[in-house]
Amino acid sequence: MGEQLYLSVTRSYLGDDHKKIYRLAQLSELYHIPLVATNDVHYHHPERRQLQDILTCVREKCTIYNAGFRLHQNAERHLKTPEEMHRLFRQYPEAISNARRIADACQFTLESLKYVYPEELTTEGRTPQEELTYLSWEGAKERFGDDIPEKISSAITYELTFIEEMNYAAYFLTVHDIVRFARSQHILCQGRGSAANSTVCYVLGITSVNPTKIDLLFERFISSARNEPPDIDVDFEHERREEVMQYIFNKYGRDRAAIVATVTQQHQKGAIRDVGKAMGLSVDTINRMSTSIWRYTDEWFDEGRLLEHGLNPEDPHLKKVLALTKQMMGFPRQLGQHTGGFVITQGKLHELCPILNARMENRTCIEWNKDDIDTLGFMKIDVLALGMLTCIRKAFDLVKQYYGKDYTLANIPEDDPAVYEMISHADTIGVFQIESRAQQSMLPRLRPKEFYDLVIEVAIVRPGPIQGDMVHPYLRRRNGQEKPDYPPQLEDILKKTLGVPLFQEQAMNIAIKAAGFTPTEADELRRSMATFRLNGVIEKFEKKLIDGMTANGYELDFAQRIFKQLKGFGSYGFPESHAASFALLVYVSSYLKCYYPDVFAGALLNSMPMGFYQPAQIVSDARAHHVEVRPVDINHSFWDNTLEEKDTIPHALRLGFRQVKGLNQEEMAVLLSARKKGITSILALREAGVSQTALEKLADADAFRSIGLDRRRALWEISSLHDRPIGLFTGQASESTVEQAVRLPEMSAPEHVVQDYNAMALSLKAHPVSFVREKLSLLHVTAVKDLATIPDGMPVKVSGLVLVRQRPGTASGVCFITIEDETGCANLVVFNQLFEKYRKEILQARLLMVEGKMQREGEVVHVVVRQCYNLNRLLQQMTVVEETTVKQAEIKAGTEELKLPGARNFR
Amino acid sequence: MQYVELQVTSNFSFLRGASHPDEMVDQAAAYGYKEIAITDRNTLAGIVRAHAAAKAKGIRIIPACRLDLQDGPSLLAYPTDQASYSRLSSLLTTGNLRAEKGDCHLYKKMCMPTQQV
Repeated sequence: MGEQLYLSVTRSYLGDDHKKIYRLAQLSELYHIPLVATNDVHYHHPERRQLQDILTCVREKCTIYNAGFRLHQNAERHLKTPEEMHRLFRQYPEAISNARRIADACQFTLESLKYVYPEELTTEGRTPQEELTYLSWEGAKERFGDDIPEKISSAITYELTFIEEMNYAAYFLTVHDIVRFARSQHILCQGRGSAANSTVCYVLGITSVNPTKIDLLFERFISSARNEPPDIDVDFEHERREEVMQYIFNKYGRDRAAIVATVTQQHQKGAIRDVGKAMGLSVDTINRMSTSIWRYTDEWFDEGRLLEHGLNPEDPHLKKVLALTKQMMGFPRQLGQHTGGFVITQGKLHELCPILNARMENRTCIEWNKDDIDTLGFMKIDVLALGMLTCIRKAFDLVKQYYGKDYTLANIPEDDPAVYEMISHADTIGVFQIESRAQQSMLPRLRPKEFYDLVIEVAIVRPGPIQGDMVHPYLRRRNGQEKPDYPPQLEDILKKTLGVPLFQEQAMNIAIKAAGFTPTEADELRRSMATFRLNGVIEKFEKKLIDGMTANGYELDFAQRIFKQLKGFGSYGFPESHAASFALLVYVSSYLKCYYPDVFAGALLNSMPMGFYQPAQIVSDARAHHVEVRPVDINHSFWDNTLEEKDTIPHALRLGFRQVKGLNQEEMAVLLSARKKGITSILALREAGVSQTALEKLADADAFRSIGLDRRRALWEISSLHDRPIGLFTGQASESTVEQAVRLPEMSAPEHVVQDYNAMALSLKAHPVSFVREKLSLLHVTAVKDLATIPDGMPVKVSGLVLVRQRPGTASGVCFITIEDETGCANLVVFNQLFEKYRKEILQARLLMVEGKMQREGEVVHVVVRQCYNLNRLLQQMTVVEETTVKQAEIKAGTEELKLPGARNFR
Repeated sequence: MQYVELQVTSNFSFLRGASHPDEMVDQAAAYGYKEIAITDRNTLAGIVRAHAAAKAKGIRIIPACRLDLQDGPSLLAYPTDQASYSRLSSLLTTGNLRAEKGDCHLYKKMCMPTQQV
């Protein structure tokens, strides 16, 4: 290896450093391998030694008490000053100068990594730019006919010139190619994010918001000043995204395409477990500490909480654990794969960055994450998964099959008043985006009437506009309680949102038009608000914006208000283009829900898991819309949920086997093929090859009703199949056949419901709360549907199953809870102090009862909570009554506890 | 002749280094280093962050790697130019792809100059 090999020496402070280094120096001389001094740095500051010891313990799976020699013996592995290193190696000056020599020889820096986009996607010998130009105009003709509007053609020309200047053509072609592939496979896809600001993206079919309908700001998408590659994100059907990903891997090869990494960070929960274990805390203590944390936040333990859990906040050991946990939070823990960001290169990717196997089969990723590749100017394509696209495609298929209409994202009838009427009543369970609690409470106030209202609706219920105090002014103006207020010069920009800037593009446009920013500066302004909240850049822009606006004759007050609003949305505000892309899906899904509730519910269930609600709510919502929902049955169900035609519309929805826990698709395929002539006996199914376990699952789901068996009877019969004669002995009598007929006790309704929930997480027979209604009435609990009769401000008690808990980071600790009883859903608001007080009840109760005050504002109804009670025990007692009768029976029916699907937490 | 620290393990050597790459770089800049190497174990995952931090402080990082071998003492590898960087990256790729996720299997033989990968 000649001149390139050096021998590294480090001082270890174990007492024999002099001897060791002397020996190494001798060896170095003997073999002509020069010495080089290093300090084997493991932390930047001696204080981190403790944390380093903890890391060692975690790695070696031991505690600080028994780690012994596995720890570093001293705190010397920190970065030392050059002077100190010179002093330490003063006897070996060449070891120091060799470090210098190596550093001087290594002139390679990451700056010199050249990233080249794949260029092969051209036809007929065109260059990428020529190809893009060709495809853009072809696409424009397809979208607009031969008569391309002036606005469009000039936008295309402008963008193409820009793309050429920045040399991005190959990137656009790559995205176009992927989208074209998806289309050819009938996979729904749609570009999201700022890409919808590009007319070229629209004519290439990457995005779907018509640029004649909204104002585009190309600079929001790419700008020359940012010197940062464009970022096109495309959503695909979540169930079929893998096909798209494999297409990319196959087309470019694994040495040219890989997924961007995500660096998984150590979160509080994991950190406290690791540190606690290494510091020798008991498993019990660790569990108590880590489980008491609200799931999605990194909020820190306060003294009160520690006391509540029986821990001593003054304990120095515990304090040390918490301090180290805090240091460890945010440490990278492993490399995972990004949700779908691809890096594709012209040359070999592994010469730019090491590639590694991802956990999922057939995927490989690079070692760098999104920020890293941004730093280096690599381009990435986001191949994202969107459940709603799957749902919409499945709904289109069903509509075609049962209603004979052939819909696409592009040909859904626009601006249908019935659809907007439905949306205005917040009848939006299952609909894209606007199904969340916050959205639902906004809808009746906003009352959307046209497509652009949906764009606003999507954007307004966001932390940004809420923080910037834009929601209320907008609503007041919309409802005519206040006049829109904007300077006439800014009418173009602000009129559409009644003078309240709601979108990032508006913020940028105001800066350009009113304060004389260049488009590029305006984009910097937006970014500074999003990312550098702390370091002075923002003040610089504040001055520039306000000075610029006052100089152009705007009032100081107005300028300041604008700035405050812009600051408010920062990173949270949606770009208008993104809101528009999403609004399109909102409209399409609303349309389907409005006109084809049967289809929509079926498609939603067939696309699970997705969205905000559980199957049980989707089913009860479908029933509320007059869809007859039929139970899972061996003779009628398929794997998916299906529609069954009847005399009237909507059709009936037949639940599919996929709703039953623990069944698998292959096994049900066996059942389906055996069913050609109809199934008349359980034995026939068993003979056809359906396993005992699958039959039991089907019995648990009560799927044998069509052959006259309820679940208990069916289970009884299935259990007798264990010793059925097979092979040679087929047809002979077995022990079970000579058994006496047994009369099984009838199951009670609550028992059936409990079993339904256990097997399918829903029941068509009754709502669990209906069985405890009597007891609730004794507690003076109002049924949800009767809330409508209670006037504003009155005290009220409601109770129901907890469906969703949502605690948005911006709503200053307010927790929104949705509960459901047999009559409907109610929305609860818990303010911060009360949340702290009732934390346990809120997090643990399945059946929650609250006392509170009615609050109504138009159609929006809330219960403002004052007290919470956990009524889980009522659910547990539901089936107890029947126990005595069951005991006498021969079968032990077991009083199963109601297993509800866990409530979902959102932020 | 000023010393350069050439052996730095950041927390991208999971459960070994106890400081973020940018903390290392910031400390180095504060001590007056003009450059510093980052040598994580069988990975280059932390170098871009270190690079960005160094750029902000006006110093330079030497992207490098500590090669932990299955059959020999560890080697510190410092690419001198783009070609050698590419070889280092390819070598790590080979090691990664032949191991389970999160592991990198390298052998002495793979690192010999004649065996340029």
